[in-house]
Amino acid sequence: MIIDPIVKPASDRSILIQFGSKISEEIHEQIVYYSNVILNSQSSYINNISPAYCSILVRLKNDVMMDEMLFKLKDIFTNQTTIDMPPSKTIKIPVCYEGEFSPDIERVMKYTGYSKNEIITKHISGNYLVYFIGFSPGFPYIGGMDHTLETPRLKTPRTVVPAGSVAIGGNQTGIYPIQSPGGWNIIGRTYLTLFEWENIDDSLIKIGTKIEFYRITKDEFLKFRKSL
Amino acid sequence: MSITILKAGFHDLIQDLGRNGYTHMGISPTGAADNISFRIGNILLGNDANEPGIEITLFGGSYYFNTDAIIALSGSIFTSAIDGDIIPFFKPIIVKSGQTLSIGSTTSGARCYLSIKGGFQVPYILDSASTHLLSNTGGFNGRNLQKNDEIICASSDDMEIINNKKIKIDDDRSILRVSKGLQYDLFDIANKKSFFNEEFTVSHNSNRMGLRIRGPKIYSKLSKDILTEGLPLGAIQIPGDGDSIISFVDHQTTGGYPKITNVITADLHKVGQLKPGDKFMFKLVSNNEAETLYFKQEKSLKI
Repeated sequence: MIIDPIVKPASDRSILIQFGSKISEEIHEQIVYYSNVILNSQSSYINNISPAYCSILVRLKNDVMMDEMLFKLKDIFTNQTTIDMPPSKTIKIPVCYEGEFSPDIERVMKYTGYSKNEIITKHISGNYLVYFIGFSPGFPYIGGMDHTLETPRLKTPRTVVPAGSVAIGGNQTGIYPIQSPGGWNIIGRTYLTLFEWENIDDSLIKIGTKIEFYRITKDEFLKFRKSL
Repeated sequence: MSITILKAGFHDLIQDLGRNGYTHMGISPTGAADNISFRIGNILLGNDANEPGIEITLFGGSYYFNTDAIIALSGSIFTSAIDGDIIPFFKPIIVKSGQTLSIGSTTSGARCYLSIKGGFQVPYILDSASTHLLSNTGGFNGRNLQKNDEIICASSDDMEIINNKKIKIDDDRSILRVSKGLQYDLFDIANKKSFFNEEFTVSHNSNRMGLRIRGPKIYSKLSKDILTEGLPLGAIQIPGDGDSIISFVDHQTTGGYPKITNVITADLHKVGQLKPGDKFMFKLVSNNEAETLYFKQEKSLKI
């Protein structure tokens, strides 16, 4: 299903391109495609874009007029261009669900009624898709978690969540690429480096990346982390 | 060629005009909170407008010069002196090696800028010197300046003052002009009336990421949050508790609260000068009017 987007001012210096209002993989593919088109063809007119579930926010460069940019963006959708799309990648992420790496797994057990093993089995069997990156540097909004794992966020967020933490917040799962504050239930940790400031174009996790989690023991975690 | 922090200010940060081009990777644009005053500081020195400077909030510290330099102070007036002699704002000033610049408390708004001819030198992260505290990135080791920090600056052989320009800034902070936000229509007439007819006060719980403001409680017609979408700079978000938040320079790149309005770009520098306890009201203008005001303001900065 192809949705004709609505292109409208979001503020006096930004424009929102809206593709309906439902989370779906079809809409996501359009978002990924047009984000690439805009980044490739409009870079001299824009400072930044923020793709999200159903929209792309475009922030204008200082000397660009709103009307001119509305016209240029609408033109993208009337005159279809073809671009080479970066292939969608699947990455496998090793997660240790043990000990100090899973401080909130008992909370998830309490809310879901599952045993620890059932939680892990359900968590590693999801087909995950990164809808977009937002909130903080490299933070992926991931869809595809088994809804029965839904667990409310912590009442008081932690001031420090270690990089690599894998967590459940409401009906979403997430990974903290860098150490940051956070209020999600931490159920595991990966030793992979998911975000590097000096290597941002080669980040493992980007918009459109598919993710598979697999379980490793604490010994494996420590061994692999050491060998990095 | 450097200055040494003898005593740190309340919140001294290296800033430039921000880190653009990476919000799709979740990276906040950051940059000077009052980018008009910041640019004026550089313009006064003949610098590139984007040259890194020190953003000083509420009260400053003591800065020892290990080199001769030309500096300028811009933004809100803070009581300031070199070796005890009071110095003016908005004027290039020669500082000799061995002298100490002391910056005290503000006499008006929240922030002033210390600019130096040639700029302060820190490693550039993704094309910007700006500090983003939440991710401990950029600026001086990703943090605010502390005692004994030594900040490298460009050597200045050319000690001639070339520039003595007057630029008028609109610094009336009693009214912030706003245009309609993406979810403006999600608020009913009664809530909009409260929003535009009642006074707001800046809360202590405010920072460069967002200013929490206390005033009338505002509620949208929705009982839940909206689908997460990109967040414009200056967007006024309304969380479920009804207390408005002005998203600011260090804002998260996306958000899920409804946005009733946006502070217009031509008034964003005023937001950078608001401090806890300041009172103001919102006034609605159209996006077209806001754009005209913005380009007029930009023109006034080009000399």
